Amino acid sequence: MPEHMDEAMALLWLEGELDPRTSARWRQHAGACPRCHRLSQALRNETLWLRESLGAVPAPAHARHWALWAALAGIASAVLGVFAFWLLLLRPWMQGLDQMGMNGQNLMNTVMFSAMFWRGWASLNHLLEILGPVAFFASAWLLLRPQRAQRRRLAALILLLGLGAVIHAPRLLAAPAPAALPALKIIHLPLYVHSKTPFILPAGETVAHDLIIWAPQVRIDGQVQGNLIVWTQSLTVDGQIQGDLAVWAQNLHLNPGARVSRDVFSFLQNVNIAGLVRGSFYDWSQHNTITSQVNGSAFFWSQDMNLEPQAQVGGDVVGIGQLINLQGLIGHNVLAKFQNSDISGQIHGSARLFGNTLDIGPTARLAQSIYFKGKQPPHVSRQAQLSHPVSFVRLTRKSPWGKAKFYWHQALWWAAELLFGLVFLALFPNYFSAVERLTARVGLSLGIGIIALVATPIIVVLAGITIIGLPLSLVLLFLYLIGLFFAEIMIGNWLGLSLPGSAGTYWHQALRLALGLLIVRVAVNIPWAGGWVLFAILIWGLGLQAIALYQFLRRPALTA
Amino acid sequence: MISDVELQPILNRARQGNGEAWGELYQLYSPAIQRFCRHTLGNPEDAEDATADIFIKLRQKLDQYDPARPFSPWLYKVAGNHCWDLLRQRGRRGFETGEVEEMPIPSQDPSQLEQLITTQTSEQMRAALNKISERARMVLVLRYYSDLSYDEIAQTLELPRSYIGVVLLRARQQLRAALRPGESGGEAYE
Repeated sequence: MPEHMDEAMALLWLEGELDPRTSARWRQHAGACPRCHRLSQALRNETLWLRESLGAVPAPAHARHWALWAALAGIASAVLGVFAFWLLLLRPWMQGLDQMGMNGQNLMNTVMFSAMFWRGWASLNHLLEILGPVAFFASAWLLLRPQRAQRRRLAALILLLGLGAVIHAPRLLAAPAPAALPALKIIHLPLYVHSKTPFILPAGETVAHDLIIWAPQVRIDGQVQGNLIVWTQSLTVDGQIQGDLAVWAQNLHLNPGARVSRDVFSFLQNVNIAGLVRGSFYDWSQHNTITSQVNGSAFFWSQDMNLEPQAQVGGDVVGIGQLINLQGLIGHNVLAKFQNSDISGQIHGSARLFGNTLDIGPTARLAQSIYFKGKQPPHVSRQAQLSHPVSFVRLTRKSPWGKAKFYWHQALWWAAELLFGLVFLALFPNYFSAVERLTARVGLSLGIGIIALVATPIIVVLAGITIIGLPLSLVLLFLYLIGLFFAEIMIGNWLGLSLPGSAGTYWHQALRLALGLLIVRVAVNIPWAGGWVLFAILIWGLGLQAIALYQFLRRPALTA
Repeated sequence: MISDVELQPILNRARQGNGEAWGELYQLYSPAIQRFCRHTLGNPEDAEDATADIFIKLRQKLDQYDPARPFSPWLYKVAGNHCWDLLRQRGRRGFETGEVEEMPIPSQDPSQLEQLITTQTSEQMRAALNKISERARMVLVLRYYSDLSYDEIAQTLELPRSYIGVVLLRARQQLRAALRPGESGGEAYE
């Protein structure tokens, strides 16, 4: 036995890896020898330190270093993103609904937005009225210093982050609760099934977790205990789904005997609901027919929607489309904007309808008030049982020019366009120049614009209902919406540059853009003609961008 | 943490394919396994994927588990095997077996070691863990986080048992080197 322990021996001793006799001898030695005692003590402390450190929850890498920046970027992007989302998408929609006679306390806010997106959404609108302009002016303050490129870049970054938040906001707001996630990992089948052949879950078989399926045809005869998410051409359900059902498909058949214990979200061409839906039904489809029971509410964005006589919807029916035919029973209220509405079933709540025509058939039973705002007076059968007479308001087009709110909204819209325009002018000046040069080719750009305006949504829909084309569809839809938004900016820029005076510096160009956008705002709001002006601007702007983009992509690559 | 006696009914139900039992197992052990993977693989994204894979693997291997033995070490062995395979696939293994015997082991000054322990935080230690060789990291985690025996570590890393002591000592030395300012740590041994 050597005179003193070396580190290897000390470690083996401390780890209990020596035979008992040798271990006892070293223990005795360490008790008597200060040097070995100190070494073994240091190693023991190191072991304890290792155990404690490894057992503690590790902090994310670089968390501290980036925490401040991440928080700042997060706050900025959240405020700007939600503001832009509200300004560009929701606000116009809500303005339209406002014109339909619905205000902030109505069914739309409380049911559709609250339920579909976020329950505090309605109250957030008021907060956004304040936060939005604050974020805007803060960004503008940073931006409008062209000599300080760093600030411009920072402002551009904030706005781009805001745009990112715009894209993700609907998904984030509608994200499922994280508590359900652990169960996702434990599966009979893989969580994600990608099959080139039809997928069938046979009767009697149970999947104890969420299931994501990507297959040409899908048939669910068994049971899915979690959520079911499907991309397919055709989904047929005869079994049970205990979670939510989300489906992107051409056809959905929820057959009699089928049951979905929570909500159904469908993005389809044809929907036939003959099974039981215990939750609510959210539908974006072309043709929708319900012949069974939906315990919750039903929300539609459909070309035509049929609630068959034997069908029941426990909650509200909210929808937008061309034709709605309500023959079944509705437990609460109806809010719908369809060109033509037919009611021959029972509505236990009130009904607010907007569109061209309303027919109330002899078997209709309405327990509460009914309001119709349309182009033609409603046709009401004498046999229909109404608790109140139909409150009819003839749809007339009123000029909004006399309202202060109108100017506030237009100013906001103008400011948003100007801000985005300035950022992109700073980032992509050559693209603006290219578009401006193309304005000389009016015929070509208008022709391309018409094709782009009409054909893109068709391609988006056609691509979206096929399995492979869905990502392309989403990208195309995003580009289309961006293109529409920038159409006004591009035309505004062209109008500004057409004005007399100098346009040599960034400031001059910014001023011209501001004036051009102002002209656009005024022009699109001219009574009667404004809609046509807007249509022409969208076509022309879209065409200009499409050609500029095409030329950019065709540009020969630089070689080293 | 739940005792092995309480765990047995859950394991029995899980063996029979009961989904709820799998959910319980996942909730009980996934945080620890994820932390294990984080330590060994070095980044949270890989750790998350690996945790999911380990539980899928667990489903296939649960029949091989001997109920007479503690469950946690067995589970960590499964996790260790999986992570070690992943590290092998990365192609960045530490020194080979033959080198273990040949490498000199410098003796440690206890006062330096004490100073190191008292001045470095746990967070710094975990950061240093990412700088050392993968096998060194693996052996430290298997020993001091998962509490596996030398035999179990040897099986997981496919090394002779007699090498484990040396590998462990070298790993500790690599870690110390990585913690000292100006030293590159385990990369020197690669």
